[in-house]
Amino acid sequence: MRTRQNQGQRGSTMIEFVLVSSMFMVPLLLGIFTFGFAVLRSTQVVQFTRDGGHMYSRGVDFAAQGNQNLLASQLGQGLNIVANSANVTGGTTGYGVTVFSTMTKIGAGTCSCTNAGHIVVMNRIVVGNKTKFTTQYGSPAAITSTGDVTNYPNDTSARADNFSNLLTMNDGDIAYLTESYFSDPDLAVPGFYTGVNHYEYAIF
Amino acid sequence: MQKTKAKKSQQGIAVIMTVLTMMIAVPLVGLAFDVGVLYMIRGKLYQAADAAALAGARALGQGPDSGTQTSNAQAAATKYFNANFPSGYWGTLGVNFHTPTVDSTSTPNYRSVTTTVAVTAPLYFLRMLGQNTATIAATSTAGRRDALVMIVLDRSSSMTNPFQGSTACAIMKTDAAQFLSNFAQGRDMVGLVIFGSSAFTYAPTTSFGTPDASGNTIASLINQITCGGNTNMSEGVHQAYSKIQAVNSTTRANVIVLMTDGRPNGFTGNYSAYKKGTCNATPNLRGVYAQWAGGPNPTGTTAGLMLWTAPSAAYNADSVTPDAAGSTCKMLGDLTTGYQDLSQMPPTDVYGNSTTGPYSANNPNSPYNNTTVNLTRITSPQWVEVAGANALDNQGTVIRSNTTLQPAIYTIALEGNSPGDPPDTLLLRKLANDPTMENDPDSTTRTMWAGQNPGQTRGYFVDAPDPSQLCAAFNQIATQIVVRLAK
Repeated sequence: MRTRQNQGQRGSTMIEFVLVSSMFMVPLLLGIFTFGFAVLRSTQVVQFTRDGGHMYSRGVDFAAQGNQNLLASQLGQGLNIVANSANVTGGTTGYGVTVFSTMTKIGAGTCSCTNAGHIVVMNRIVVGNKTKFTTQYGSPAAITSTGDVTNYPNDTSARADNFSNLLTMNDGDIAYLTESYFSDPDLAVPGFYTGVNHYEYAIF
Repeated sequence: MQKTKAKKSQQGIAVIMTVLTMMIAVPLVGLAFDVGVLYMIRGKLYQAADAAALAGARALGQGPDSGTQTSNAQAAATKYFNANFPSGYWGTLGVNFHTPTVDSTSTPNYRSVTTTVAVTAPLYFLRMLGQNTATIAATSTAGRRDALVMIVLDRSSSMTNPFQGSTACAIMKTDAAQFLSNFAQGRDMVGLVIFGSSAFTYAPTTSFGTPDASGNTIASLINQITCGGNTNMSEGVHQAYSKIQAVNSTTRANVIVLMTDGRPNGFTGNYSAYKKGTCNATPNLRGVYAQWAGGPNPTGTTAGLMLWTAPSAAYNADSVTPDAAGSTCKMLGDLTTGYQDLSQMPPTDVYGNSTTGPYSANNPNSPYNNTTVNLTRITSPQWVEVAGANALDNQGTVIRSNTTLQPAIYTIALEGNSPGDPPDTLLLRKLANDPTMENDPDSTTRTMWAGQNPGQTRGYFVDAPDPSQLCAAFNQIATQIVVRLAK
């Protein structure tokens, strides 16, 4: 009798423990998982931006499809960024996008051109889902198939003077800006976590 | 009694167990949280340290002396670090960015910038264990090779065409002088070639900003250019290459920067004058033949053979002179039939570059028309131009194939300046071995790219649609060179 009773009580203790602890443990665990994944994703985006930007600043040509594939499928593994098919203006699928810009400040006295004294975008390459994010640093009117901005010394739409908020530039300086923007719908837990957006930039 | 007691004692066990579990779980979660944040900060910190080192290495090229170059590098590194690592990033407290160190002696023709940084990051959960902060450190090194840059400028007559109240020649002088500011005096070597029908050369020197015995600097020489003459491009490029060979440095980045507004319209060769009247044929007249004003058409003129003199014998004037017009065996030498003076097309230029192909043979565009140049008597002025393009192309192949010195060629095409005779952008891209040729929509361009030996050095080609964009073209070339100097 006693043994049976004890056994029964032991079982109910377990059930009680599960019931009580689940009130704390389940949300806690869910929280750990989602937060952990989100931090992991953020860290991935930081690293992706860093490495992509590093490559870009070292002259890797992301206008080439092969390099875009490398960026998207190797460097961006798990981030679901989709390479465009041989263009520099971006696609419409995938969770994220990365925007490469080469900035320069044209010296006021160095050039007889309209944009003298301004920060301008010399090169712009967008890889990934362009509908996710548009950079606020210049929107050049015409870009060649290699990402070079057409007539950047004279085209006023190539100006990106607000870039000085990030970096003070001297005349003739060059800066390579890489911006990445990723959403994480794959991490969403219905009714609990809808996903956040990860934005990172790197200036080389 | 016993039953109740047992029940009582068992009541609340679940709560106690939960609390106990939580006491283990919460610090674990905290550890995960804190470590996660530390990883984030570390990733960003590494990136900022890398960017700072790289920007510092690039800035080593700015300034008139090594002291200024070093302080410019340190200032640039600090600026880029701060831009990449905003203060208070993820709650970081103290950022200790040490003054970057510059090492300019360990490796020949190489300087490096090392950045070191430490930040204090806050801990949130590990405070319970008495640990309030953690220190994260990062260090990064980047370097800059010294360069040997030969600037090759076209002073042909089309450069005198007016543009917006100035001339292409005047704009080129300003922009080319500005281009010099990208190179480090005292470290980089800069030399100059100015070509028309012949070439003027100025040997590369590290003190390119300091007046020489004659009071000249590279910038002042550029400023003295007067434009006029033909476009003997293979001569100009060859002279630049020979200066690189003379220095013979394997530790420097050897670079040729060519700016032109037209096609090569002639080359320096050993010509044979045609047997005329009672005169015998005169072999081996070293000189320059050039097509004038024909563009890619079988029209145009030549001034007859202009005899060659050594480079740098004259400045601002062609050192070649038309053949003695008064001599008994005077060649025709006039503007319409001068090309007939040649009894034969020289198979190579004087530097051994073939004039027959393969560039013209692989190019369907006029005036090349997929033809191999005939080594017979020249029947039209355009054949001199086609031969000049072949000589330049072959000279380029020789330069790019030098695996010891690895010279890279950068080319700028100034378009819109001489509409009748625009630069051959395909030839200039091929000369630079521009990487974008590989995926070009034009099949001829891709074929030309495929024809290059994969081991050849790669440069960069920039198109300036009109003279106002020439400074941008020089800037782009400078960007490409500086990127490649950074290691």
